[in-house]
Amino acid sequence: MAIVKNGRVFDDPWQALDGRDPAGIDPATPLLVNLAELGAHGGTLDRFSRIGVSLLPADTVHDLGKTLERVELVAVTFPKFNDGRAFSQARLIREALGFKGEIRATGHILRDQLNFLRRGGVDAIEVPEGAPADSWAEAWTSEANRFKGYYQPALDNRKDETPARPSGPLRRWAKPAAVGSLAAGALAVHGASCAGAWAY
Amino acid sequence: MYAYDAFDHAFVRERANEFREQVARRIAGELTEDEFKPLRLMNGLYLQLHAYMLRVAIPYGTLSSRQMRRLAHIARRWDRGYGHFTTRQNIQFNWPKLVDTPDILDSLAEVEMHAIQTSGNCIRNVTADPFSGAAADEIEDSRVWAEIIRQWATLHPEFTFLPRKFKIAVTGAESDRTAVKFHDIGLRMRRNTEGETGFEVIVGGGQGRTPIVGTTIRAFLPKRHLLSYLEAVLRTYNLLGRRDNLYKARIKILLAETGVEAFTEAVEAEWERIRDGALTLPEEEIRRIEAHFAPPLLAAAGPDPAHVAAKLEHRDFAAWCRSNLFPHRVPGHAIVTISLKTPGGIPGDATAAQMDAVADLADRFSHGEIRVTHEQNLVLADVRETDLFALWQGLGEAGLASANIGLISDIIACPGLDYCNLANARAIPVAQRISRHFSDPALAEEIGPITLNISGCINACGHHHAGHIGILGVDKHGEEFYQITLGGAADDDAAVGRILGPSVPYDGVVEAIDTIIQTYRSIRETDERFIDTVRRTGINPFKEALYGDR
Amino acid sequence: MAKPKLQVLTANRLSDGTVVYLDAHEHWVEDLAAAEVARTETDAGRLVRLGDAAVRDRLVVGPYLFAVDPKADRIRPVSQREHIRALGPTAGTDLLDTHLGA
Repeated sequence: MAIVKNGRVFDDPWQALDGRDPAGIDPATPLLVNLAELGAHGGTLDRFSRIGVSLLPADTVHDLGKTLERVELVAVTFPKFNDGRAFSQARLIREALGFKGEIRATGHILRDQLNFLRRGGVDAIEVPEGAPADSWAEAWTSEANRFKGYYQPALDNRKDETPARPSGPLRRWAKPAAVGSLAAGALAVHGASCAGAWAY
Repeated sequence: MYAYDAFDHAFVRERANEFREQVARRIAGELTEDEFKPLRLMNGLYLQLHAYMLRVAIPYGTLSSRQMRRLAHIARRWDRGYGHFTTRQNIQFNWPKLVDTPDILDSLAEVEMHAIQTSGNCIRNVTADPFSGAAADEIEDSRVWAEIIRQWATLHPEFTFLPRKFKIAVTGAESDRTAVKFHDIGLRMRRNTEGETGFEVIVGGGQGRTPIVGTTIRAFLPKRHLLSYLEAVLRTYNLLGRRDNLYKARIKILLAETGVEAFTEAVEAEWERIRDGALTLPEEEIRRIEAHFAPPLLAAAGPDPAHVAAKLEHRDFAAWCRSNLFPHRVPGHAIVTISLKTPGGIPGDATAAQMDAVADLADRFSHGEIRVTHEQNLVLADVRETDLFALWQGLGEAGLASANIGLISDIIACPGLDYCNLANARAIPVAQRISRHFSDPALAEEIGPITLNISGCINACGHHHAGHIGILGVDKHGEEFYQITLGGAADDDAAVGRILGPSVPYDGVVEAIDTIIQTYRSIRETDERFIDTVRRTGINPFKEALYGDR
Repeated sequence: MAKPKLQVLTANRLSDGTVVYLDAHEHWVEDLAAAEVARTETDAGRLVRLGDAAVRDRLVVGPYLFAVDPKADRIRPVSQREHIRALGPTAGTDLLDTHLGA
């Protein structure tokens, strides 16, 4: 499965637990569990150096609680592109819970949603099955550059720093996105350095 | 009215370019119809019975004469020479070609217009009082707030894939002219005990399958918190609204299933987290938007003897003055409603020539500004009394001088089965037959104020639930039948109409309405409006009259 | 003997939304009178497949079958909706009343 993160293509190192017994898995494997599995296996997951949580649209973000301190990746799901709950989940994870790791969108996503995802705190997407990863990586960047500004604060914009430009306090100028803005190998690093620069 | 700055201009151009690319990808086969549909809906492009339909946004129903002329141009160049004004203060074109829509959007962008978010599961056109800035009973201009909300809602990254469409209305007068209690969020301007103005927040009103009047979840919201509060409501709805059933996905269902208290608690908890943050409205921003809506400088004037004389001499003019004028806050002026309901005609439709005529009359008599009402009529809000006769004559030349505002032939009707994919029955010909039947102006005036609303299906775009008389088209074994309701109201005493009895066939509707009206005339008390009689007597006398011998 | 079910395939043209019908030469025509009528389920299935191909070729959108009256001497839709699609909006005209009466 290919991942596009901040405009670049990566192979996905993460494995979903998917109902297996964690005891039989190499603790060096980056392991992705859902909320139910997190609750069920609790302390036995401590062996794993890299843990991620996968949310369903009906899951309550605030239930993640203190778990997030230990988690490097949160995946939010689109069962169908028009089920937009993941947008609010991502927003809350970033803004309310202060999560600095990777937020990844998975499931049925349209290319035309990339900008909304990016503005909502998502920094990676799982490329849909059969879709050309390179062109999605390109789209991530080109869509980010389509609009010079937006009408509401979100998780990607910077405040207008030039008073002379027409603006209002709610408007935000878009940060120009450069291709490959993520340093190589950053996926292997934990925590804070995975974050984009969230200016809001 | 609001004027675009460079930021706004750039935005609509970028948006139009985005759509141009999406259309090209569709035609080239890079997007299937399933993938393209949500994208075209977000630019107001539907596929209907006969053709595509483009719904152009008219933010809170206000447009300039220049914009009206552009709509006329679009009707002529890319459509069939007419447009339809809707119950959400927008305009619809019924015959655009897909391949032409990028050009149409470019043409709209030139005059600061667009079709953004007029469809899809997102925040739709925010509607406001069509008499804003002019009405004698105004507290504050509701359009200022509709514009602020519009901007915040535009391409909001989090709220573009809601469970369902989301409709917001703002009213700023003592009397509600926006059907504020029938919206997902209704905002009613109020003064608190300290004399500050703020908003009463009403949530969960709506029509459709489960019509219901909204509930107040917050009695007073200070202005600076408006957007953060709306964000909290929308976020709660986006997360908790039903996704499993299209017919149970509106916020009114969430409110009903969760309970008002639990819902309000959830909203207020989220609001606590974000209030006083980036969405707080600073005073300068409010002033900036308010400045765009500063009313024209009008000189108060005393009664005009020429106007009085004209009324004496021209009884048609006098009748028009009685039905189509509303009191203006500045003496010597009037708010004029232009009827798009010529008896026998198509409610809400205007030809390109008529649009041009209205634009010219707006320039001559009302500072170049026009409003659209949710009853599918047009308004010139700041007309001097001395100009009324000339205006009326000009309207007459354009076939727009029907003296029937608020009377029985001022019918609201959705496009219905003549145009719409969702419809079960036709609405427009029913409206035509009824308005023709009651076309005698003296009879209409004698019947008095009454609202009659027709919808061609349960989606209720004709607002039938909120009509004093409501008519709902249904399909009975492949034939068009019509269910009649009584006692609905869209005003301060908002109510959902009650079903009178079994539906009547297409050919029986006019007679049924006639029976109802005759019943009213026979039992009403002096000066009692239709709705007041219904409230006094209940629906039984009407039920008896219509179905008594069955 | 079972009553024959007569069906016509219709769609909207992608480029301009015009109502079109599939004729016997696999062309999309605007005139209902020129449409091909499927008299068996097999024929109807063939029309549906042609419709799907036309979607893939980006000619039309949303093809579907609708019933026409087996007793009429011309192609006559059974449903009100298809009458109106064939005739155009009836608003302001007596089109439908005349057509239905005919």
